[in-house]
Amino acid sequence: MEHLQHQIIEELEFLKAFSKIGLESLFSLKGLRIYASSREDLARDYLDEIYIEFNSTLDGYLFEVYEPRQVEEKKKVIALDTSSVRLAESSNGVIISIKGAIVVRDIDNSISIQTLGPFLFYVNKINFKYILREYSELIQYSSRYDFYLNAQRALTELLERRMQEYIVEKSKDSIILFDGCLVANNFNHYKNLLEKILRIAQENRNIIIAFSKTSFIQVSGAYLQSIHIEEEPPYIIDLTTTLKHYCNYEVRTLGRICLARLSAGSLGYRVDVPIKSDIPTFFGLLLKSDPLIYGYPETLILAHDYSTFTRLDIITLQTMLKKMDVELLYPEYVRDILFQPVDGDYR
Amino acid sequence: MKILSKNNDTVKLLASPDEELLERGDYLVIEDNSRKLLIQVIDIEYADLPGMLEDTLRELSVEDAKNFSSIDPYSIGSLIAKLREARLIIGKFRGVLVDGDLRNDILWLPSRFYSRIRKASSSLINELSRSSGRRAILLGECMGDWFTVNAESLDGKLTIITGKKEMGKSHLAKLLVVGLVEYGARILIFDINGEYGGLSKKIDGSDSELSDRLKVIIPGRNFKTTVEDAGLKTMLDILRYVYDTPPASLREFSRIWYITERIYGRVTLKGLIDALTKTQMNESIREALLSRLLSIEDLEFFNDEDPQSLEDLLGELEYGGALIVDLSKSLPHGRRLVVEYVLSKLSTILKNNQYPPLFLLAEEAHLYLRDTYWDDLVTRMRHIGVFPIFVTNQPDMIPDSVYRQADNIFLFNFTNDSDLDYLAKASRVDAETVKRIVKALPPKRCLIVGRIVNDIPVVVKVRELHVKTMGETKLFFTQTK
Repeated sequence: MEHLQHQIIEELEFLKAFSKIGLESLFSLKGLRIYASSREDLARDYLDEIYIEFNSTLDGYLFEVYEPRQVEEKKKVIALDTSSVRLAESSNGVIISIKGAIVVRDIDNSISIQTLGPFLFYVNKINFKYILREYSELIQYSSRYDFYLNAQRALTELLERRMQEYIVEKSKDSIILFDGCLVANNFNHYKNLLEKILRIAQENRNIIIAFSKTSFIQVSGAYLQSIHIEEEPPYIIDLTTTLKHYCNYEVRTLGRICLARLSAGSLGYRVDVPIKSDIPTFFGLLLKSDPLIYGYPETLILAHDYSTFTRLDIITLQTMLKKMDVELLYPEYVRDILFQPVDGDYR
Repeated sequence: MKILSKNNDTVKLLASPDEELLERGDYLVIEDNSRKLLIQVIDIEYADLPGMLEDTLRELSVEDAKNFSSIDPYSIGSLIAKLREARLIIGKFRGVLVDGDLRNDILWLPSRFYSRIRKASSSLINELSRSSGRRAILLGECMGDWFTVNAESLDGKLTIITGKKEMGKSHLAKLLVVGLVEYGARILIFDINGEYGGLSKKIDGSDSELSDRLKVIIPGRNFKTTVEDAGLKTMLDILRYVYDTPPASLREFSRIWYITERIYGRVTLKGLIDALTKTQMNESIREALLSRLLSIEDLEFFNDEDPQSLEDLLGELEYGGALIVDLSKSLPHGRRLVVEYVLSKLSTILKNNQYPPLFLLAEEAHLYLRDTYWDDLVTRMRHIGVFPIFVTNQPDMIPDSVYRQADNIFLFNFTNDSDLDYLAKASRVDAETVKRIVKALPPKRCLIVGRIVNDIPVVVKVRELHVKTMGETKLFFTQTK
């Protein structure tokens, strides 16, 4: 790991500090016995987990429907995504790994992929403020499990926002696709950073579109995706005005919230765009520049694919931990050893 | 390497790609404390790791990308690459080594995690596969070292050499012949392609050590006999099996035989034909028998004027040697007639203790090996004193009964699944070993199973011979211009 610093590309300066802190945190792991996390609980995507609910039907409210504008111009599409995994947990702390991917589709349709990580962190109640800095505010916990979850969430956000910041600064005249939504909670640093990202993007004439797969907006108990209008896709329903009245006050939207159904037969996705967006042009440019798969931009799918941890990644990371003299215990293995000869392999 | 699983006699091991290179047929020793388990590698596959499909698909899509870069601070990529390339070695349980003996009856398994796995030494395999005896025949190389078998393990045994063409069957047969003759064995060879005469010459054209111990006889030329010497039983067998003569005609032929004996005082082919034309009988039977006897006469193998007795010809091999019956110039039915005669005669000679036991090598055995006339020989060979070595590229043409009694089998490459299925059923080793190893054998390598290797299947690279083997394929395009 001595060559760690050399591997970080000059341009991605922020990763140097990121990986250095991660490496430092691992030194305290030596000789530790720690339980491996459940193998079913591999990767999480916390940034999307924001609920907005309102208990009325859409019929009674104002909403606008847009059709993507026909454009000839194509733009470079840049998509970025991150994922994280809790590798092991003990009563003191949690080992978290995070990974990111940036995928660029050029105007000539060629694809470039850059993966960042995986980075490893051992976060405990002593070092979390040092590791997470401003993001440590996110860690409010009442139980050990909350601590694990919030530490994972904070680290993932840290990397994702850093990557977003880096991309909006470096790129010009591009469509930048985020995974998640443009919503901030009461956490001030987070809101300020997101505002900064949106501002720089605008200055560099970048178009930000945030696609969300898992955020939920419920209208009278029904999910956003179940809203249908008598139009043939592609179309975008702007729900911003409607939602303003019913928004949870703890959540601050920094953009316009839309339902985008961009291809026939697709479910439709929640899509956030900056407030001063020309929605028809933005989506017209996206449709011209990036192919869609089930109404979802392919470049963003690739970013998601390359940032996701595979089983093999997990096995390798666990192997690496073992090499660092960390003893991983598998709770279910103990059960197997004790009882499987009697109760058989029923699972 | 680590043990992954054992299911019946199949043992699966996980290995990293930079482990020592293994070949099909190699042996591994799994050591745990003082005990050792012996397994034979029959195949190697990629380990089926979790997430492999996803990972490979990702790799595939990267191929289309213009640029791919990765910031990998802990060099996880190289570890993943190593994991992705993990190999699954499939082996067969061959026994537990206890005090130098290989035992199959001991129920013991080594630890999956703490046992040590290493390639077995060639000396161990040589030792375990060595049958009793002191007359070593150098066959070739096994696991990087010379490999020998004992001539005694062919003595009193039925041996089969099989494989598709141009894989080295005849070459191995010649190597065994040379080895056996050097130890003073007597061998009768049915030589379909007229190759074995070449053993008397070295590659440089000078005489080999065997030159005065080989005798080539060509039926109809320097090997002729009389019908009387063949006897009524042999002649009936020839008519039945070689010429498909119906039973009614055979009965008439017996009658004619006795009439000829009574009238002429001895039985000759000419006398039989005369008697057949003059004796009263059904015209169609007469016609059938006459056409067959005239056909036999045309072969000029039966010659009442200048016959050689098989006893005398064999007698010339007093100090060990090979009597080569060159069948290359014989027509198919002539070939079968000669084989029928020789076998019948041989059986009689040996039964009467007129000659010591001998080896019988049958090249391209499928051409004349039939259910009937070999049965007696194969079934009672140990009592008669004939120890056959069959060489064939059509394993399904050799009757099941022959395989079931085979003591030693030399298997060269077969790619045809039906051949492999047949061999798998008949050979003395499990079907999976045969199918996986034999299918992948390169030319001149064979899997040896049976008593000759103490029932430890061994893959051997057959060595070169310093005599003319003459079995190579003649080619039209031999020179580059």
